[in-house]
Amino acid sequence: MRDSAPPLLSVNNLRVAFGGVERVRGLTLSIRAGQTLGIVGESGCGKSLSWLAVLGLLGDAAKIRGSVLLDGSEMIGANRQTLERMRGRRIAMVFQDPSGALNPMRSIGWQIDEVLRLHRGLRGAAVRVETCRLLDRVGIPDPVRRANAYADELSGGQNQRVAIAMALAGRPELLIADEPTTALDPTIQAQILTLLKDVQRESGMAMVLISHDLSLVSEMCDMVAVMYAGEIVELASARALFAAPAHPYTRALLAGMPMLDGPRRPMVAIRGSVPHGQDMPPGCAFAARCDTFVAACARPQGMHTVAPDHVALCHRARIAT
Amino acid sequence: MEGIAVVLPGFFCAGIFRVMARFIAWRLLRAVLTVLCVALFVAIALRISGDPAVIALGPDAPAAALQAFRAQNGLNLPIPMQIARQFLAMLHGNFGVSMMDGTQALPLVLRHVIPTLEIAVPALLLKLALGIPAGLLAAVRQNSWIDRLVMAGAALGLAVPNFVIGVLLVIVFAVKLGWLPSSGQPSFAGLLLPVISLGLAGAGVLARFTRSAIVGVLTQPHVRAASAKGLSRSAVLLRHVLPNAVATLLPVIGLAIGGLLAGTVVVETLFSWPGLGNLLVVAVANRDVPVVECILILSAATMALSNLVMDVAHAWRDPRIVRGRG
Ligand SMILES: Nc1ncnc2c1ncn2[C@@H]1O[C@H](COP(=O)(O)OP(=O)(O)OP(=O)(O)O)[C@@H](O)[C@H]1O
Ligand SMILES: [Mg+2]
Repeated sequence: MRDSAPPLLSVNNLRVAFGGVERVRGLTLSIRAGQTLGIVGESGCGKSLSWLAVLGLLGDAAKIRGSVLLDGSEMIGANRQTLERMRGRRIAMVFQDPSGALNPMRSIGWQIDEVLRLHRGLRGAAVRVETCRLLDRVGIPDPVRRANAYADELSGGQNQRVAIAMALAGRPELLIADEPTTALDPTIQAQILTLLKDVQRESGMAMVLISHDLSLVSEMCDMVAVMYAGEIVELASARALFAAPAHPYTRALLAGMPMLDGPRRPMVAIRGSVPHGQDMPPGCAFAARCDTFVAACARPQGMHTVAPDHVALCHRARIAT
Repeated sequence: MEGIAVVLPGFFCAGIFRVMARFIAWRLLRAVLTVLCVALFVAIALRISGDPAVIALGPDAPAAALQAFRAQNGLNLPIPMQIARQFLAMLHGNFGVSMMDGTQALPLVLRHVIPTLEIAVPALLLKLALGIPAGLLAAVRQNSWIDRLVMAGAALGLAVPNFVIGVLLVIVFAVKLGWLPSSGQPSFAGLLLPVISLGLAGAGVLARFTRSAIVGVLTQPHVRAASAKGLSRSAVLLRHVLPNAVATLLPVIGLAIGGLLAGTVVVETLFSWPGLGNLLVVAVANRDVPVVECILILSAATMALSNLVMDVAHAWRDPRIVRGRG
């Protein structure tokens, strides 16, 4: 796991605020080529927002601070051309709402063609041939004809696969996949995951996998970051995280996870709600919901190293497990 | 499900064609009905507004002459019969004889179409060339000073009738500066003022529509996805935003094209331009029923036809319309 090669992407203290309210509160992590990083956490904790900020896709209303280095060059505050050259080619994204991410007035083939012309320099008939090959790889039946279909003529799951094909079309070094398999049935999901792994093996593509599906994350990811209220509360190798979660929030999340091979249990709701904006306590953001709250939790928390490659934002993490 | 789709590709394509053909047929029927309704309305309104015999022969005409006129023109028949006969004649291009100069109304009206188009077409082009880029700029630079300027100009163009702009232009350029003729000359210089006063007012309205259409597209998530692909900002605008916005603008542009013949009345009067609008004003003043009817029906037909074409163009750009999911 530990590797001396410099990271492909390193995010340092990334902060995203809207109208003075911080929604991402200091994200720090790094990804190496070929690695898969899982991002988990309750809805609204800033998973999507962080990666939209990395790609510079948030628009003027978002105030972004911190640093994102791609192969050592800074992307926060970089000029538009620099970001445009990087998007789609070096870092591609599969959006959480794949049907919305497709232009309703262009055929899906046209939209994949566009990426191939832009990033792969393909021209003429070769473009559509490659588009159909990509559609075939993501399991769209009869790709030659389906390439002429529009997003509203396909199912949500098919649109999701089209979005994945489109993101892979630019042969990115890093793929950010935001809930890429939510609308897929288990067979197709397995097929897509195999495809993504194949692409990673062939090209060394790194991947950020944002998901609510913890068993998927445990299966696919090398590293996992657990986000809570806009910050990472635990970051560890997938094996360590699932075997020995150090942060109470992670433990609460995992408690809702179905046992392998066991019957699916409903996700256990964690009592209370996520603080944000003005309610954000100075200490641990999870304190009000934590079963193991002590006075020290009300003081600002720092990252503690639990083990090599395993950190948690909890003062008890040192002594846990 | 998948199997059916594989077995029936040919059927599927034919289906799309049939759906499109049915869509066009429906819109065509609607256009014809619209024109028919207008014609009916005009015919009834003109009949209610006065006895055509009295109008034609004057209030002092002797009763015998009025009777003869009625018999000759079929005015003794019940009104529905009269209208039916008149519609039949219209289908053959016979709108009746102008009461002003005794010639057929249709050729007389058609002769006046050309001068109207001479100012209406350049004015339309001016509207498009000014309104769409201005709206685009305002939408892309939302809340900037450019946006405010365009929107203020558009509000002004909307609030101030085009004849006010025309009068102002005449005062400045014709009266004060003496650069341009103020009226009635079918020359390039004579065209300028009517075209500008028509075009400016329309451009404001179009700029507003363009801006809101583009802002509407810009907020759709697929635009962010297009940026995420690595397209430059101008490519996103030109390939994903503007074409989608134009699809929603087509009906508005259709209205502008449809109004080519009907929208120039005031400006033609102001500049004494010898076009359709002028003819209409004169014909109304003289109670020249066939000419008025002919002009109104022609305008309605232009409007209906233009709407039809724009509807079909819209459906072609955005197939969801035809499939009824738009
Ligand atoms: N454009 C925006 N303006 C203001 N607030 C925003 C904006 N986009 C997101 N937020 C807020 O930021 C927070 C994080 O949103 P984000 O989309 O990152 O959540 P998420 O972790 O991806 O959740 P989910 O699992 O539901 O996708 C949310 O509370 C959301 O309301
Ligand atoms: Mg999200």
